[in-house]
Amino acid sequence: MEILFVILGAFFVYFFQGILFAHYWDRGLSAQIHFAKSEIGEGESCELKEIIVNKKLLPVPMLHVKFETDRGLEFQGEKNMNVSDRCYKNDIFSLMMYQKITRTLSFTGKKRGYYQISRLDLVSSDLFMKNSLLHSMENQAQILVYPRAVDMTKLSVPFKNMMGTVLTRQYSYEDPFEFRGIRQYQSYDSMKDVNWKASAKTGELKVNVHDYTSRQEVMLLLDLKDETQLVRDDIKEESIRLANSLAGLFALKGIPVGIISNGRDILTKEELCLSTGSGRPHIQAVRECLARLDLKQPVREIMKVCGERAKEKGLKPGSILYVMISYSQRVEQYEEFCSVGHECKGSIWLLPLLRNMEQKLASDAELKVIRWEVPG
Amino acid sequence: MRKHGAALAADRKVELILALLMNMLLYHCVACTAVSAVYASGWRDHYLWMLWLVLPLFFLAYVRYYVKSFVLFLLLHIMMPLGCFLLGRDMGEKLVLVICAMIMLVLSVGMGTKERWKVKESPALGMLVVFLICYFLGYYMENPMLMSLSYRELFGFLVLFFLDENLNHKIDFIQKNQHIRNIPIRQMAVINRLLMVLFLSVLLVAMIFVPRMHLEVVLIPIFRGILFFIAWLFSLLHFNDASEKMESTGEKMGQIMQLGGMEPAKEGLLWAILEKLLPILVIALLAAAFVGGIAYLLYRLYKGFYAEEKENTDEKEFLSGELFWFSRELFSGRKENKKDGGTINQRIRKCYRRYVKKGFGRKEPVPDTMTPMEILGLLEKKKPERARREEEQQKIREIYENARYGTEECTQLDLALLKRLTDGR
Repeated sequence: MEILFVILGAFFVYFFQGILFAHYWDRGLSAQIHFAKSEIGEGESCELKEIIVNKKLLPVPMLHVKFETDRGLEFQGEKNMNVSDRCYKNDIFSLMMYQKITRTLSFTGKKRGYYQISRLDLVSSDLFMKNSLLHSMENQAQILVYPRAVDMTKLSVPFKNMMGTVLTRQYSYEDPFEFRGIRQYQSYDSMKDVNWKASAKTGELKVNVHDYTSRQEVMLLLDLKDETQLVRDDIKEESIRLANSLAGLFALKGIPVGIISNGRDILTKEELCLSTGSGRPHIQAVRECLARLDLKQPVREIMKVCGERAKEKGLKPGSILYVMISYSQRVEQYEEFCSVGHECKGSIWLLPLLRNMEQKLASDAELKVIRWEVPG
Repeated sequence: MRKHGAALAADRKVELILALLMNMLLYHCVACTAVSAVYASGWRDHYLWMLWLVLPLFFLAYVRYYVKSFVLFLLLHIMMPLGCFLLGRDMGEKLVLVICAMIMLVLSVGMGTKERWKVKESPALGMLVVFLICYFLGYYMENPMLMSLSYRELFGFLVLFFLDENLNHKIDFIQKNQHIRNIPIRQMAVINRLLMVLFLSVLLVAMIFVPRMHLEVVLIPIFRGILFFIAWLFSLLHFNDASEKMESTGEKMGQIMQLGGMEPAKEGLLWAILEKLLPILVIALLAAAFVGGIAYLLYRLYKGFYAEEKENTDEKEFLSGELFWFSRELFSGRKENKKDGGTINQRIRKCYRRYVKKGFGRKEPVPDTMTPMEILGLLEKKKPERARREEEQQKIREIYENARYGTEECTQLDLALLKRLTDGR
C-alpha cells in the first residue's frame, strides 16, 4: 500500500505547485510601459520602455507581456508582432526573485496621431507550462506624433502671396504700449524713443521699436470633410501638414494665427477651434491640436462651423485673413467662402489635390485659389 | 538563433536520455517480474543481473535515434534479439529478453515509418500501471525483492517523468517562440532549473515521508466502512455476518507490506559486494546531486546579479532595497558609501560633483556659469595625465545631464557606470 502513497505524495506535490503558482504568481508583479518622449514629429524615432518588476520570492520563469497599439507606430525589426487592424505586440520576460527588468524598444512614428497604450495583458504559466495564468493591468502611456512640415520650397510661393496680403493691410500707426524690440538709432528717430539703458550698455544709441496699432490676423480653415463616398485620408493628412506648416511660418513672422476645423479631437470629440495667437506656446498648441485630430469621426460643413465660431469669438471680418485648406470643390462651399472673402479681401483657398485630379475652382478678384500637389 | 539552436539541441539530447532511462526502468521491471514468475526464488531473481542484460536494449534505443541508413537500422534490430537470446543463461531469461527486444522492434517500426522528430520516446504517465502490476504480482508471489524493485523503480520513474515533462514543455515553448526578439532563454533556463531543484526536493521528501505517515491507519477504516456498507447493501447476509466477513477481509488488506532489503546474493562474492555498495552509491549520488544543485544555484545567482553576461539588451536590476533582511553587502567585498544616500539621481549628481571638485582642487572654485561640457573640457586640460577618451567624457556628461535635467529616474547601471568612469568609490 505504501506504493500508492508514494504516487499520492508525488501528485500532491505536482498539484500543489500548480496551485501555488496560480495564487501567487501575480502578487508583487507589476508591469509598466511608457514612451521616452511625450511628443515626436512624423517620421521621427523614439523609444518605448517596458518595466517589469517582481517583488517577491517566487520567480516567474516565463511571462508574456502583450499590448496593442495603432499601426501608425512602426517598431523596428520586430518579428513578435501581429499587424492587422492594430499592432499586437508580444514580449517574453523571465524574472528572478526581486528583480526589475527594463526593456527598451525603438519605434518610428510613421503617421500623425495620438497613440495610447492603456492596457497590458500578462500571461504566465506554472513550472510545467500546463495551464495559462492571465492578469490584465491598466497602463497610462501616450504619445503625440505631430504632422511633419510640407516641402517648404513649394510652399514659399503661396506663402509669399499670403504675406503680401497681410503686410499691405497692416496699419502704419505704431502703438506705444506694444513693445516689439530695440534697434540702432537712425536720424529720423525721435529722442523720446531712445532707450537710454540699452544705449548705456552697448555704448551706442538704441531706440525702442513698437508694434502696430492693429495687426492682421490669419485664420486657417481646415476642411476634413470628404467630398464623395470615397475617403481620401492621404489628401486630408496633407491638408493637416499644410495647416501645420503655415501656422509655423506665420508665427515666425510674428503674425497671429488661429485655426478652425470641422475635424474632431480624438479625446474631447470637440471640433477644433483655436483663437489667434503667436509665440512658441501657441504654435505648440496648434501642433498638438492638429496631431489629435481624428479622421474617423463624423464632420460637419466647414462654413457652418466657421460661422458659429466667428459669432462665438466675435471675429471682425476686416482684421482677419481667411485661408481655406480644403480639397472639396463643391460650388455651394465655394460661393459661401467667396462671400466671406469679399468681406475679408484677399482670402486664399489652398486646394490640395492629387496629380490626376482636375481643378474646377478658379480665382477671382477677391479670392485666390492655389492648387497644392499632394504627393502620392 | 544559432545560440538558441545549440541550446535546444543539447536540451533534446538530455530529454532523449531521460526518456530512455524511463524506458529502461520499465523494461527492467517487466523483465524481472517475468523471470520471477518463471523461477520461484534463488539467484535468478537478482535484479542486478537483469540490469546488465537489459543494457544492450538501452544502447539500441539510443543508437537507433541517430541511424539514418535503413539497412543499418534493419540490421541492428535483427541482431539485437539474437544477441539478447545469446545473453540469457537459460530459456527463461532468453525468452524474456527476446520479448523485450521484440517490443522495442515494434516501437522502432513505428518510429521508422513516421517522421522521427514527431515520435515521442518518453513513456506516458499511464505506464505507472506497469510498476503497480509488477508490485502486486510480487505481493501475490510473496516475493519482497520484486516488490522492493518495483517500488524503487516507480520512485525513479516518477522523478524522471517530471524532469522530462518540464524539459519537454520548455523545449516546445522555446521552439515556438525562438523567433521573438530579446527572448531571455538563458535566464529562463536558470530559473527553470532553480524551480525544478526545489520541486524535486519537495517531491523526494513527499515520496519518502508520505508512506511513513501510515495514512492507511486513517484511511483504511474509512474505506472499510464504505466497502462494508456497500457489501451489506448488496449482499444477502445478515448485518452481523456481513460485518464479521468484512473485518477479516479488511485485516488482510490492512497488512502493511514490509519492504525488506534485497535478499543477500546466494551465489558470487562479486554480486554480494555490489549488493552492499549499490545503496551507498545511490545515496551518495543523491546527496551529491542535491549539494551540487544548491551550489550551482548559488553560482547562477551570483553570475546573474554580479557578473552578468548580457544575452539581450534588457537592463536588469536586483531590488535589494525591498529585502530588509537581506543586504547585497553580504556578498560584496566592499561596503557601500554610507554618505551616498538619496535617490539614484541625487547620488549621480553627488558623484559628478565630487569628480569635478577633485579635478579642480581645493583652492580653485568650480565656475557656476559653465556648462558640464565646458567643465569637463577644462578638467581634461588641467590634468592631461588623467585625460579620458571622448566617448567616456560624453557618457559622463550624458549621465549627469539625464540625472540633473531629466524627468525620469536613472538606473543603478548608470550610477555604476558613472562611478567606474570617474573612478569614484
